[in-house]
Amino acid sequence: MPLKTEPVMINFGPQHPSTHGVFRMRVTFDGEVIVDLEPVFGYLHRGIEKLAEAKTYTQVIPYTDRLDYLASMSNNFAYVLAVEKLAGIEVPERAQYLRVIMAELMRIASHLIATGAFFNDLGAFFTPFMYMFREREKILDLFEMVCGQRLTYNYMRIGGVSHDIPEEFLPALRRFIDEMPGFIEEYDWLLAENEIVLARTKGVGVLPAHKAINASASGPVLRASGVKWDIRKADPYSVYDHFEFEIPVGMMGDTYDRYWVRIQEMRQSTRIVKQAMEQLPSGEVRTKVPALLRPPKGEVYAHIESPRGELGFYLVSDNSPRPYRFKVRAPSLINLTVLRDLCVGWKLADAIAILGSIDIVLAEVDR
Amino acid sequence: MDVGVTASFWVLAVVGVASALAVVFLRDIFRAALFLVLCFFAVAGIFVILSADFLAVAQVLIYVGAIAVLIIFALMLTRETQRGSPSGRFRFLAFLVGAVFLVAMILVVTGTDWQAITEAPTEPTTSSLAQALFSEEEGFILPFEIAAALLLAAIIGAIVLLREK
Amino acid sequence: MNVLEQFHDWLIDYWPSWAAYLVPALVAFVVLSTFVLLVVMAFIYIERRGVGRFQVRLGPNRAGPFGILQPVADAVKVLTKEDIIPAAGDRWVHWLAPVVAFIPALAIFAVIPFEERAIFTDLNVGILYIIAISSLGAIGIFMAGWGSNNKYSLVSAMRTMAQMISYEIPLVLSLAGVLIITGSLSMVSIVEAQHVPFFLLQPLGFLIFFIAAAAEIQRSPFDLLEAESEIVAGYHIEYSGMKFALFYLAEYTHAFAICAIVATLFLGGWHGMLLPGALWFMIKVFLVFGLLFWVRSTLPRLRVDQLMGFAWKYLFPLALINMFITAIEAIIWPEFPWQLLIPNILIAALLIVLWSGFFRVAGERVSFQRYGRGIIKGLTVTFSHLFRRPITVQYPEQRLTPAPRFRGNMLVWDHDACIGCRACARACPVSIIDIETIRGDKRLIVEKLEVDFGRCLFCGLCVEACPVRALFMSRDYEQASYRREQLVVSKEQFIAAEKRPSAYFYPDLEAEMPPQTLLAPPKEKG
Repeated sequence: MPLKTEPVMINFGPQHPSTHGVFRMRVTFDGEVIVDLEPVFGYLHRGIEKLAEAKTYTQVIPYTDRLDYLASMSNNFAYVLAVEKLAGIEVPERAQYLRVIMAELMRIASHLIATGAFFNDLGAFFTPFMYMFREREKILDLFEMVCGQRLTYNYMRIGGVSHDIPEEFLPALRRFIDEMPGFIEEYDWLLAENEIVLARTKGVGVLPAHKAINASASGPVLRASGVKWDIRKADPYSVYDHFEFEIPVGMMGDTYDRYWVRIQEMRQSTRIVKQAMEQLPSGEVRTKVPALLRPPKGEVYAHIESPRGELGFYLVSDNSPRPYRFKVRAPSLINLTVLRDLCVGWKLADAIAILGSIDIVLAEVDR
Repeated sequence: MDVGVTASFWVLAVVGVASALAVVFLRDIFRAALFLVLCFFAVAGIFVILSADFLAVAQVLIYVGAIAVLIIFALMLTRETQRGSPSGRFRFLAFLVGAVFLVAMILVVTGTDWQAITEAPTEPTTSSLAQALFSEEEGFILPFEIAAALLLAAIIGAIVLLREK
Repeated sequence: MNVLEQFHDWLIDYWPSWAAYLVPALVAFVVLSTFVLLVVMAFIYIERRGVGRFQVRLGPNRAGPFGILQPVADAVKVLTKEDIIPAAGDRWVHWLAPVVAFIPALAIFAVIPFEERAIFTDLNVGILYIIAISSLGAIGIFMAGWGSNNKYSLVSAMRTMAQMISYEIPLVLSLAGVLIITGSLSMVSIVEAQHVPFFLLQPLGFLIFFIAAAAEIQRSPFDLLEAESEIVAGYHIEYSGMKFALFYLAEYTHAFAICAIVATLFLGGWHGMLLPGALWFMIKVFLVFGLLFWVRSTLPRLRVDQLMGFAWKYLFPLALINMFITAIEAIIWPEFPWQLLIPNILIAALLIVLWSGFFRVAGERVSFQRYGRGIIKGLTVTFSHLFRRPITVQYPEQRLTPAPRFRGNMLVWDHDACIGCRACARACPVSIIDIETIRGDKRLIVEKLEVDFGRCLFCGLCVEACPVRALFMSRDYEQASYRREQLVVSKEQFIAAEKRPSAYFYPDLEAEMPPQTLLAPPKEKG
């Protein structure tokens, strides 16, 4: 006679060591196996989109810092691109190169945290986390040198960047870029072939390419599934078409591929920064823009490849100094929609690994 | 030394009998299982008093480490353990059978001529036990192997029965 | 004739025989327990410092010199915590569970030979006693799960028991090789039989025993069931205070016991040159423990079904084959000459490689054909970090210098230069600057200036908006106060404050600033 089992629902979060923020999951189990998963978010909603309607275009920039706080430079970048597109403002070339350097350094830092936290969830007891944070500290030192802050930079301005780099920046950056490939090698030695890592992540949470595209996934989640789509190549913005780099693409779309794609992207970012350093022109870093900028009436959507995916800003202007509508297309939120399909059929420990591999930042999901 | 041996024997005997009674009479099945563990320990203690070192340790290893754990697992997989076992309709019959068994055991134990050695063995008992079991001339190697094969068959049978198709 | 028997022989002239047995036993028990607990505290300390060094940081170093009193601080913390007992559920079982979990770990030390004569009692069945006693821990764990009245902790306790039982089998089978070579169950005779340490004669047995023992005591990478980040509840989740401390102590005492057993069985016990035997023994124990926490800090956790699969499908057959091979060797070469070392190591390596090909974990997706190569690579990386300088900053004794452009808390206001234009108040995104001006003879005079730094974003837009050089960001970053109202800075406080401006937006100030402390300062170009 077969055993009769009943599904049990467990509430996971919002406070939990491994949900990357205040995120709640209502997981329904049948024995060991997950049959349903309902993500519940909104615990970090601060109403940034509405707040932005009461600020001038320059005053919104510190708010964008706080959307995806692990990749603040990218947020700044996307927003100022949107405003410049709307108002038709030209950005000097030196500023474009500086923006690219900052954005790529930010990508490295964000992937370091994502991977470190991912291995924390797998149980590697903080060791990869500490090593990756050590490199991130070096990047944050560089950022502090340039704009004075370590987490929420407010560095980019409409029409350029706020400051030129000091003279000690390039030697420090050169040292970092020279050493970074060695450290990435070290991470590979520690983790990439580790049998336990492979056993926990290979084949777990496979996202087929068609499902990823249907769900509008973007970033490493999409690329790990085999879709070669990167906005830096597909719709180049700023001066990305001046650089030579590759887009790492995974084969299976499992958790291991998502981790692997991030590591390869770090390598490619190092390449870009190196080329940008060599090609850095001289000149101004900021176009003169009125303090109360009044863009012409209209709407614009500008997107960049943030470390988490396609970050887009949709702005509607009514010729006043304040945006009429400010909407953020948050990559973490859109990527989160695949969580249920990925987790169903796996066990709880796998669900945590899958969530870590999608790499969400709740501030972006909730805004 | 006699005082010590006698005192420890009486302590262990009382503990053993009391815990055995607790096993039978307690309502809470899980506590009964724990008292069973205590009873096994008391028996192991009595083995130690009799200088049967291997048997004492084997008693702990097998009975407490394996059989008690098995009983506890079985308890866990049943649902209403808190309420204790329901009183059965066969109480009187069970009591009767138990009493008959007890009388038979007492008669057998008191009627047998036990050959007891009063001094402790000088060498470890393990090797002599092993000789008795495994040596070719006077050992029980064939029944041992047959018992092993029987156990294997039982394990495989249990797995086959429980496997989901 | 060990120390206790000598003590007994001396006492028996004065006291009745039962006292002559009891008193040495009690004295030795007290001495042994104290020693074990002290070493356990040392283990806790060493693990935290050691794991810290593997992770390129210092461990705890505040409580006492070099943090030696950290375990004491932990003990005090744990003793002063409130003892929470679940309202429903079995009170006695809940109370007894930590005791039943701790005592077997302590009881193992009765047969550990610290030196040839420094052993509590040299039982004839020493090894068997150890195996029997360590199987008792499972009952303690189960009682903990049951007494908590929490169905998730019950399920987790059952799984932990299943894990312990599964790993007992390779544990015992790997010991069989040692026992076949020695021919006796007594711990002292096992050590005496090691002219060549047994980890060379039984490399496979050593590895299997180490892995199975680590799994028995639920140490990483087998600690899924007590890890906070994975499960909803573990078996000891309803415990607080001293009861939880007993579980924690039990884990470390068991770890010490395992290290002692490995040192006795495989590393040669007290054998060694120059130094006294007991010292060699403790050195070996600490070496094995170092191996344990080295593995812990490097490897992620195995999932529960992978854990069980690893025990039954990989370790158990290997241990069985190892036993057969040792038995065959025992028949052909009964004295086990040291020349057997090399063929044994080769056979072990061959078996591991071959069996890894057969073993598929994660349902055919990953094979262990790499036979642990990736794990070894990871271990080397962690080991190399032992020799790097830790990057910990001893704040507040050691304060790093922020960058010249640092946007610190507290603005620096130049009262004389300010013209009261209110550009800063208009530029602030969160409207924290509150200015009221009155007309003076030549210019506006600021009458009231209040800035609420509790809500400041430190964005620097106010500094950029000021048309005269009246507003600067500051260099400080310490902003803590007991009351939120104290974070609101008034005009008088601005005037009276010590002016430490940063060079944000005013690069000409950069020349007089101290250089930033960089984690990776640029190398001097040759």
